Amino acid sequence: MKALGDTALALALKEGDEAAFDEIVRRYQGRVYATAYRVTGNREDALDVAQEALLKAYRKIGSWQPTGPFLAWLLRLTVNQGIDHLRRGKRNQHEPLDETFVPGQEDAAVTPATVATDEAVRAREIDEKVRACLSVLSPAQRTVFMLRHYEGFQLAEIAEELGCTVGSVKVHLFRALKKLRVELEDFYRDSGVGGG
Amino acid sequence: MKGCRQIRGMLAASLYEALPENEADMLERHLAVCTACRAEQAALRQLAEDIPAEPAVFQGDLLPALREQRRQATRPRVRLAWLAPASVFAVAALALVVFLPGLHQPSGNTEITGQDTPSPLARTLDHAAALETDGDLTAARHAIETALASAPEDTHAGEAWLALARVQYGLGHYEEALAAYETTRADHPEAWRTSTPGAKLRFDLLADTRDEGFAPLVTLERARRKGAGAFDELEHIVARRPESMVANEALATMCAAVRASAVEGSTVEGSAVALLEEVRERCSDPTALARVDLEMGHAYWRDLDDPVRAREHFTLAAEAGNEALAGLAHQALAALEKPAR
Repeated sequence: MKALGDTALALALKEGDEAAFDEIVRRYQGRVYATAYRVTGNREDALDVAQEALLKAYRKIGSWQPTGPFLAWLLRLTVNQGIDHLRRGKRNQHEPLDETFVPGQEDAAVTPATVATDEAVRAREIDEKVRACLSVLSPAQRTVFMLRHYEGFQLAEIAEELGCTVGSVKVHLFRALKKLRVELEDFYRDSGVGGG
Repeated sequence: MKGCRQIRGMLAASLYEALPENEADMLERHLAVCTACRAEQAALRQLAEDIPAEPAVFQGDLLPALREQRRQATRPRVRLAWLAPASVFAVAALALVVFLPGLHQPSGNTEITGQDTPSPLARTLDHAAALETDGDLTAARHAIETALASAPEDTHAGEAWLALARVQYGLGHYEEALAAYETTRADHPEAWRTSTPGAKLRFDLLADTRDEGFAPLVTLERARRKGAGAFDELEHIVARRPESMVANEALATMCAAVRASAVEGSTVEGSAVALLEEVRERCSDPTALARVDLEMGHAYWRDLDDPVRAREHFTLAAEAGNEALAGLAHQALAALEKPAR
């Protein structure tokens, strides 16, 4: 099972192979968690969302089409699950700013740090503002932005996943970035960084 | 030269990956003369660089909790929405993957899990799976039957009966396939409990059509092999007994055929409804149309959270004159009025 590629693994699950699901969880739970964390912004919610998303993938595997990348489908599902989770209002609270969020060190979000560098504080502010803005993006804009910016999917792969043209994906990406830039306008003005 | 609106997508894409040569030239020429777009590009680049992209690190293991949740939950049956909360996509997708080769997918020892002890029968099953993959179903059937006869109490006997049923189904020996599934259910309940949705669906289809000598199933499988060209035959199956399992699968196959021939560009969010709309366009029988309406009602309700459109389609299904469908449509309408789903 470990030797199977993503598509073969997903097809095996689609045919009902339980062992395939176990391998999918082992292989992708880190990616799913990271995506969930990006949307929710805290460890507890991210764990809930990751678990819900993987379970949903298990139940909804029939709707995955092998024409698109399985991981993109799984992460899109995770993003939507995270947004739903926030909308349901479960523990939707941001950590106080004196807890330094250091990207790449997820525990930092729940373990208060004693020293917060300017750079870390600034990264955290941007991260929080982006997270707050995710829910105002359209589902397509959000998916394109998350998969391209955070997950590094090629625009052509995202087009396959969304079932649309690459040109549409580019437009979604532009609109997502534009909205985020508008949301961050005050931040950039106050910090005196960047043009526009 | 392209205007500002036309180059925006390229502008965003260029922040992340190399553009095709013609687009790169187009963008460069535009930026050379457009101050506003140059400023836009700089602002978006700053933003893209500022948003942290490093992933949060996860060091736990969600598998034990997920296993427990799966154990407690019943996996959704592979049916259309009015029978179970599975979207038409789920069924259509399964139809594409499982059914087009005739509802027959060799899967080796994956029909059930949790029986890892090697045994002679397990080795035979591996061999039979290889034969299935090669398309030699007759040899696969012979191997499984011989092995089962010599080791009926083997720990993999339940799995072997499931494999035998699958092979018989693939051969079109529906009576024998049904008998093998019934043996599994009666003598190997644990194997049956953990069998795949595909196995359970095959059994349901066999049981559903037994009283008619499996004739609807023969028609369905023949239509599946013909693909989109068999749309009329599939519609006839749906219209003849729209509430049946075999009609469900016929409709799923119609959806799969439409999807396979769909023009690129529809959005994922809207495509379940779009798919059913297309199927509806191609149907002419009033009962088949009502069956599609019932499914569209569920698509609007469950997938798009649009109770108004869902109500419209449920009402159309209820008024179409088919008693069985009307009953299901009224049930759906009643459920729609409940405050929480």
